[in-house]
Amino acid sequence: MSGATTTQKPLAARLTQAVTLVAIFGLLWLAVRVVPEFHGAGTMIGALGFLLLAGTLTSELCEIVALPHLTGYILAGVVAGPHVLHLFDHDTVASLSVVNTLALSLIALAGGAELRLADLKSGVRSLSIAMLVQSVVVLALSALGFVLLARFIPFTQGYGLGGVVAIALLWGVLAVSRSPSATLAILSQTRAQGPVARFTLAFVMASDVVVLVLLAVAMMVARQLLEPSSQLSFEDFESLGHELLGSASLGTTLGLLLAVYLRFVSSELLVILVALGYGLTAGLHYLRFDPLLTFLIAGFVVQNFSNQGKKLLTSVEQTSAIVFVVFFASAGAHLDLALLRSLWPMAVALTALRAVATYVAHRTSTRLAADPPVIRRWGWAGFVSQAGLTLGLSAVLAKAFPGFGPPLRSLTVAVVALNEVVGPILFKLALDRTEESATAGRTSLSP
Amino acid sequence: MNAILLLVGLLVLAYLGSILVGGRAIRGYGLPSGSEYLILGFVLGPHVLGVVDRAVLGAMEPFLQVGLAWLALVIGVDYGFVGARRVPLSRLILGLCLSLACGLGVAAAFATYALNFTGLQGRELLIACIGVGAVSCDTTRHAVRWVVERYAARGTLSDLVADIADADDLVPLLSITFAFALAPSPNIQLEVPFWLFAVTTLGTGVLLGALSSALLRVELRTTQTWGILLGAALFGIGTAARLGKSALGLLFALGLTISILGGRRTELRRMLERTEQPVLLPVLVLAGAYVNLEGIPNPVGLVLVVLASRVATKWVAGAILRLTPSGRGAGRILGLGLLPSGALTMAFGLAFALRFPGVLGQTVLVVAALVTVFGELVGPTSLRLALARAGEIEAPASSRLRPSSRPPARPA
Repeated sequence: MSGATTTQKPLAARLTQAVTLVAIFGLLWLAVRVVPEFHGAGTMIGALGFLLLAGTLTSELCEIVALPHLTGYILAGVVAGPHVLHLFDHDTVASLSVVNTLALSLIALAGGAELRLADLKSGVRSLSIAMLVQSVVVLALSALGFVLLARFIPFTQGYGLGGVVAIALLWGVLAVSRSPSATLAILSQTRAQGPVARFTLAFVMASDVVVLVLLAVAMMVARQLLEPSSQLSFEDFESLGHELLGSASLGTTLGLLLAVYLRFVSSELLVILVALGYGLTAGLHYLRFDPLLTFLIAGFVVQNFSNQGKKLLTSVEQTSAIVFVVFFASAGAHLDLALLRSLWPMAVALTALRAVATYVAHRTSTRLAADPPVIRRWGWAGFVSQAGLTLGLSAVLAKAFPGFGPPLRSLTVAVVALNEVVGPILFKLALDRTEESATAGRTSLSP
Repeated sequence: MNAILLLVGLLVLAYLGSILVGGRAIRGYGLPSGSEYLILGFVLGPHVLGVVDRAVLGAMEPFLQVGLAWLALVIGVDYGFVGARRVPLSRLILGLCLSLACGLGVAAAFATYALNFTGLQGRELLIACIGVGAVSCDTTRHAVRWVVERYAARGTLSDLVADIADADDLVPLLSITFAFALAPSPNIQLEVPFWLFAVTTLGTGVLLGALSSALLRVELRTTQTWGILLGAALFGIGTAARLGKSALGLLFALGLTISILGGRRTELRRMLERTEQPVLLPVLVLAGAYVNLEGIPNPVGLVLVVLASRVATKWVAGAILRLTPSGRGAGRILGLGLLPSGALTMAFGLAFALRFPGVLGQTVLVVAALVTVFGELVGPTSLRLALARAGEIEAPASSRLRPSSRPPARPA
C-alpha cells in the first residue's frame, strides 16, 4: 500500500507533538470539568475531533519506540475513553459507530483493491493449504482449550458436556477470525512490499469469507448439541447463501460501476465514496448483505477487471490517515478495561492458546506448502490481530444464543482487547525484521 | 424521508457543488447567491411539501453544525485576502465600519418592530437584534465573484467591492460570538461575564489554531494536514457546543490563526477553497428547510422594516464608497449593488435557529432568507450596472448569457 510515509522527525518536532498532545488533553479535560453534563451531537463531534488529533499525535510519538501507529490510535482512545480519564462517556463512544460505518467501507474497498489476481494465482496452493490448516487447527485447539478451561468459566456452568462443546465450537470459530482493518492499517503505515505482506493480506482478506461459512456450520452443530431433540435446521445456511451471493453480485456490480466512473469521470471520488459508504451500507443492512464483503469485492473488481485500480487506491488512501485513526481510536475508547480486569486470567489464557495454535498451524501449513523461509518464519505474525470482525461475529452469537451468548461476547471483547494491542505490534515487527517495511530501520528518534 | 436518503441527497448536492467550483467554465451560471437551493429546501421542508420532516432535519443537525462551522474556518483562513492579493488595511477598516453601520441600522429598526409586535424582551431581544444585525450587514463575496466572472469585469471598482465583501465577514462572525456568549450552556459550572465568555470563545480558537499551526509546520504531508485541520475543527466545534459558545466564531479564530501562524496560507487556502462550495449547497438546502414563517408576528411588518432599513443602510454605504477614488464613477446604484447576501448569511441565520429554537431563532433565520432572496433580485443587476457605469465591463450589450472567455482581473 502506498499510504502515509513515515519520515524521520527532529527532536523539536517530537516535542511539538508531545506538547500539543498534552494541551488538547488538557483542553478537553477542562471543558469536561466546566460542563460535566452535556449530551447532544456536539459530544460526538468533539470526541471525533479529539480522537483524530490525539490518535495522530500519539501514533507519531509511538514511532519513537518503533510501535505501530495503530497502537498509538488505540492508546489515545483507551486513555481518553470512559475507563481511564472519562473525557467522554459510553454513549458518545457508541455514537461514533456512525463514522465507523464509513471507515469500514473504505477499509474494505482498499482491502479488495490491494488483492491482485496475479498474486493470488501464484500463491493459490500456499494460501489454500494455509486456510485449511489454520481453520482446522486453530478452531480445534481453541475449542479444546476452551473445554479444558470450562470449569473456570462461569457462564458454562450448568451445561452438560454437549453444551460446553457447543460453546467451545463457537469460540473456536471466533478464534479463527482475523482483522482485515488492522492488517490494512499496518500495511498502509509501513508501505510494506514483499512475500510476508502479500501472503498476510491475501490470507486475511480471504479468511473473512471462510469464517462466515464456518460460523454458519458451527451455529447449526451447536444448536444440535444444545438441543439434541431439535430438528437439523439449515436456516443459517440459507441466510448465509443469500448473504454471500447477494454481497458478491452487488459487490461486482458496484465494482464495475466504480470502474466506469473512474474511467469516464473520476472527479470528486471522495464524495462518491462517502455517499456509497453511508447510502449503500444502509441499503446492504436492509437487504441483509455483508457490507464488508460487498466493498471488498468491489475493490477487487476495480483492481483486477479494469485498469482503474491505482486511481481507486490513491483516492482511498488519501483518506487513510483520517479513517484509520478514527476507526482504531474509537475502538480503543470502546475497550472495556473493567471487563478485561475481571476476566483477565481467562482472557490471557485463551489469547495465548490462540496465538500458539496460530503458530503451530502456520508452521504445519508452510511446511506442507513448501513456502519460502521468510513466510515460514514470519507469516503467522499478521494472523494474531483481531478487531471489529470478531466483535461483530460475537454480537451475532449473542443474539442467536441468548443463554450464553452475551457472556461469551464479553469474553470475546476481553480477548480481542489483547489481540488488538499485541497483534499489530507483532505484524509490524515481522515486516520490519523481514525488511519488507519501507520504514524499517528508520523509526528511531533522529538526533 | 429517511435520514440516510437525505444525507445521500445532500452528498449529491455537495458533488454538484464540487463540480461547479471545480470547472471554471461553469462559474457564473445559476443564481449568484444560490437562492434556488434555499427555495428548494423551503419547498421540500416540513412547512410546505413535508418531503423532509422535522425528525430527519433533527438527524441532520450534527452534519449542519459541522458544515456551518467549517464555512467559518474557510473564511478565517482566507480572511484579508482576495485571491492572492492582500486586502489593504484601509479597505479592511472601511469594510468593517460599513458592515457594522449596516448591521446597527437594521438592528435598530428591528428593535422598534420587535418592541411593538413581538414578546421579545431583555436579553432575548438583545440577542435577536444582534442576530438580525448579523444577517443583514454582509455583502456576499460569492455574488460579487459571480458578477465579476460572468461579465469579465476588471478595474479598481471591482477590486474595491471584492475587498469590502471580503472584509465585512468579520462583523457577523463577531456578532454571533457575542450573541451566543449572552446565553452560555445552562450546565456551566463557572460564573463568567458575557464579554469574557466571548473573548474565551475566540481565545479557544486562537489556542487551537496556534497548536494546529505548530503541527502544520512540522507535518507537511497532505493527508496528515487534512487530519490536523479536520481534527482541530471538529474538536473546536465539540468544545464550543459543550460550553454553549459559538462554533462559528471559534473556528473563524482558528482559521485566522492558522493563516497567520501556519506558514502555508496559500496551500491551505487552495485545499480549503475546494471544500467551500460542496458545503454551501447542502447548507442552503437545509437552511431553506428550517425556515418556518409560523409564529412570526406581523410578518409583513418584519419584511418592510428589515428590507427598508437594509436598503437604506447599504445605499448610504454605497454613497460612502463613491467618495473613494475607486468608487467615484460607479453612480448611485452602487449602494444597491452591495445588497447581495447568500450562503453565509443563511449559515448565520441557521446557526441562530439551531441555537435558539422558537420565535427568536426563527425570526433571525427568516430575516436571513428574506435579505438573501431580495438581494438576489436586486443586487447582482445593480452591481453589474455600477461596474458598467465605471467602465469596468466591456459594454452592456456584452452581457451575454455565457460566461466570458476573458479571465477576470482577480478572483474575488
